[in-house]
Amino acid sequence: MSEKNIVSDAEIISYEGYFSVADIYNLINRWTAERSWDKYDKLHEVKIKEDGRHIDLYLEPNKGISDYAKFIIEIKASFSKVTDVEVEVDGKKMHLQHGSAKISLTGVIVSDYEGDWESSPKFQFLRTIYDKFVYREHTKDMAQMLKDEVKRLKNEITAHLNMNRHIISK
Amino acid sequence: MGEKIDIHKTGPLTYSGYYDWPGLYSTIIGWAKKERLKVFETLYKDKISKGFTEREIEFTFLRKVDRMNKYIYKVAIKIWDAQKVEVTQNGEVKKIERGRLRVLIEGSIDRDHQGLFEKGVFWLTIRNIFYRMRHWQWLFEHADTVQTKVYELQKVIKEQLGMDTK
Repeated sequence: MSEKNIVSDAEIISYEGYFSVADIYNLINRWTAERSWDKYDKLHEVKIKEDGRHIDLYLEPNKGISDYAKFIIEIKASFSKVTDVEVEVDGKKMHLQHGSAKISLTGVIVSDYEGDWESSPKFQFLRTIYDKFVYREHTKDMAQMLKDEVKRLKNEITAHLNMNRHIISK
Repeated sequence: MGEKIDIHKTGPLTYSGYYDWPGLYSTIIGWAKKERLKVFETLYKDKISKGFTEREIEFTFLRKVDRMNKYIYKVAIKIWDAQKVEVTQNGEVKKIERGRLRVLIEGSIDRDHQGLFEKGVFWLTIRNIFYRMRHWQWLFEHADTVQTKVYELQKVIKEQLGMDTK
């Protein structure tokens, strides 16, 4: 089994107001694609209730940084009480949604993701030694890199949501 | 025969609410026809109890790309608590369904689907050398295509269901 290390605590974005779920989804996809991350949509859930739609998204974009380790950003987005609204911005009609959004981003480093060192206990022991003493400095650097990436994505999403707030309040 | 390689399996797409079942069915078949895939409905189960329907349906779509590679897409849909309801949309009365559904899509490639290299150990060794030589090219040419198509089908289904992340 590969080993998962959480390197950045969940960065949480909470927002209530106007937004577009499709725009946020596309923003995450575009951002990850531009940086050569592989897309993986773990779950899409939509529940239609009386007070609006409840949407849950679990996305896990990942990027192999070597044959041994890869980065994963675990994105859990839940949108609740989502209702469709039509808003006029600068005389143009826009289809948006209103509701509340909670997005959490967690950075995870997965080591030995191909399970190359799993074949025997001897190899597993060697891997532990390798992780503890040889790869440690490198892991620190990688953890910092991933933390920065998670922060960058968080800033991108926050900026997008704040932009919505700003445009609508004009 | 051949060697089946799993390329991509999507996470579950779950939906709870109103949906147009015949519309969804024809959208999936329509996509497969557009992609020139052979359509097989491998499972259709309908169980009605206490006015609710539980439905399970599986499709397999195939396409022989060349003498070596065959693309395989599998779509599994499971519906719980389905109930027929009448709704008025733009002054038009429509019969649709309400329930919970889950869609899973899987894409794989059957390499050497004709078993051309399976006539002995010698030919199997040749096949493995050939695979190793063309590994990256094969990834870009075939594996990427299958993965993209899996996401394309997922997008089509999301659009049909009116999900926001289409």
